[in-house]
Amino acid sequence: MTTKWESVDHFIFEEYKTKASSLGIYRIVFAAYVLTYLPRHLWIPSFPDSFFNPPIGLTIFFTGFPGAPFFYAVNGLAIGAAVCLLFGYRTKIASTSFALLLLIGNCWAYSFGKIDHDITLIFIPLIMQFAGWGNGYSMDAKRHALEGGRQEETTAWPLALMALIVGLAMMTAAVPKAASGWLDPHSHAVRAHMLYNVFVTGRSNWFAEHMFRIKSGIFWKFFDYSAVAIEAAFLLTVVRRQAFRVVAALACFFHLGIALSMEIAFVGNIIAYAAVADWSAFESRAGGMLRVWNRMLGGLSAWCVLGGGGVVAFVYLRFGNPLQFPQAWDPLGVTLCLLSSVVAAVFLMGLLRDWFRVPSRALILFDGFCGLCNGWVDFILGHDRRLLFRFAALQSPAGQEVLNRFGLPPDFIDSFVLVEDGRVYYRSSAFLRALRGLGLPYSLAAVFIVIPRVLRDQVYRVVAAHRLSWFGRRNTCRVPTSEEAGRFI
Amino acid sequence: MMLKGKSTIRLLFAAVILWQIPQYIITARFREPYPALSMPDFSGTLADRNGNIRLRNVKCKVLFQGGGLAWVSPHTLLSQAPDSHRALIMTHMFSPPAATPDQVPLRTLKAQLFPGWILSRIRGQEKGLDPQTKEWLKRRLQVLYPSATPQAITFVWYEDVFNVSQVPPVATQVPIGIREVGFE
Repeated sequence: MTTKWESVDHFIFEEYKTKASSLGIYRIVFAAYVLTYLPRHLWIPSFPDSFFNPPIGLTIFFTGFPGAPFFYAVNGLAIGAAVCLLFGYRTKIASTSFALLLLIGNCWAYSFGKIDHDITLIFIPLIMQFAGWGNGYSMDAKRHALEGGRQEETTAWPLALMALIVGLAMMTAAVPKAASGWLDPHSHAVRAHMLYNVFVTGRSNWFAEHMFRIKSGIFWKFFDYSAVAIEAAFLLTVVRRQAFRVVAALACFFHLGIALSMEIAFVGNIIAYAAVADWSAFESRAGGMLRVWNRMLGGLSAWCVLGGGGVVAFVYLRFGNPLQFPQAWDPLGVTLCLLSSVVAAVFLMGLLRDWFRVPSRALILFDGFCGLCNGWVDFILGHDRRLLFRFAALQSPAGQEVLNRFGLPPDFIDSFVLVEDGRVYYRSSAFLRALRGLGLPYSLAAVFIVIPRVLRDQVYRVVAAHRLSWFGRRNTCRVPTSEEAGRFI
Repeated sequence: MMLKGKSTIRLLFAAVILWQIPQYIITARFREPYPALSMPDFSGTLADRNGNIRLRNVKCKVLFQGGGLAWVSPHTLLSQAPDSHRALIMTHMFSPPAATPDQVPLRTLKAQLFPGWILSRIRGQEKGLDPQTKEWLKRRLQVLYPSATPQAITFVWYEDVFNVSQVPPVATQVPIGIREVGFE
């Protein structure tokens, strides 16, 4: 058992530990994406200063927009920084420069009154440089190896901070929705926003037209509730990386739906979720490609990268980014949403497959005096077709020995305990895992594992606290019958 | 640049969490700041108790010298700006003038320190358009209609009212007001 402060420290310094090579792949993905996204701000000088309508921020000290050369310089330098980031050349300087240049450009772009919520694209390079994302698949790593210098170690806290930032940012979307009536059964908020997108913003499309033909209130309210739930779930799961990944994977489907029906592709968010993904899976599948990348880095000089960055910047600023489309419909954004949904589906299916893989043996420790616990043991005995579970009362010598082995106190009787594959589970996690072991239909209840443990355990605690008054207490500790004897230790 | 020491990092986490308090206050009291740790709330547009969804919309009528007339969509007029910005720019720049504009103090210390903030409040309150905006509109219409000379543009504001019981949705238009801009 750990204290609350130990748990906080575990979240900050341990939970999001990642290999340098995984972070290196993530840096390449990020840089490749931002090279499709730039330049961003060249349209600003086509409007006069009278359109200046800044939010509270860096531009309230000014009275109008800078001239075109300023935006060409900001975007040209940002493109150069993105190229350096791609190859991992002077990664820390490139990361900071890119973030600051994008921030400066965006401050002016959003001084027309509208803020596009792509702030994660600024936070990612600012934070991830501290994680050591320049230590893998980078020119910096090659240089360190050649010079024999000590490479900075990879740290987990920046990833935890990135996850926290995503969680807090998503909560700023969930709270006003919940407060303004999205959860009201009559509000039809998603439907209203789709109408806004089609009739006011002019983003009419096939998906929206077909969805508008559906009258069912349940159908529309499902989207309202699930939008609020998925946005809030990020912050609720942030302390558990795997749970956060599940929420991020589900959010990819959410973003795909928005991209298809409203033509708003929140690719910046998807790129931020990708920070917590397990890139080592990609590494093992694309090892050949990454070896080629590493060989290429070995042959690159600083002048190649800087010159290449200059050429890319010139082409983008002179002729436009060939990957950007002039019309509102953003095929690249939709494709990235689609791709992320496929990856998310594969991840979730893998997780489900692992979840429903039943262990060969499991041990349940229960309160031998509790009526509810004994009823629960009877239920498992009656439905355990695979003879998976063995049992011991928490108060028995065998039960006490197991508690001692896993560092649990001897008076730990407010929860039944499950030992499975050498790991110990208690409260709601033990309950759901035990149901999973019983097979269909009981194993379907295991889907509730996606609810954050802190919420599940709260329900469990309420039942556990009242179990003796609600379900009675036995006068003697349970002794197995002769038929059950083989199942008890 | 390195962040060393567990205490510094813990403080950084605490600061990020605590920053949410002033950010929520600024957003509620004024409007969303930038930069900020926030995502779009989409909180405004909902169906009312009668199942009506009301969307504020605009269309632009251009009158040419010699009596010609054309309707131009806000998206065409503001096509240089990203499409996500257009509705807000239209609302801020070309809404019907307020009957009783707020008094915006121009000679205060606040106006000296934060001129952009004060300017953004004035623009939404102006009875007549700023000469720069007028000039921009004229030039823009000349680009869109090179063979005609624009005489005036009228921004016709209305509400599209949809009822959730109608499938597919059909809008009823309710007028809100107009803003007329003449070019001498």
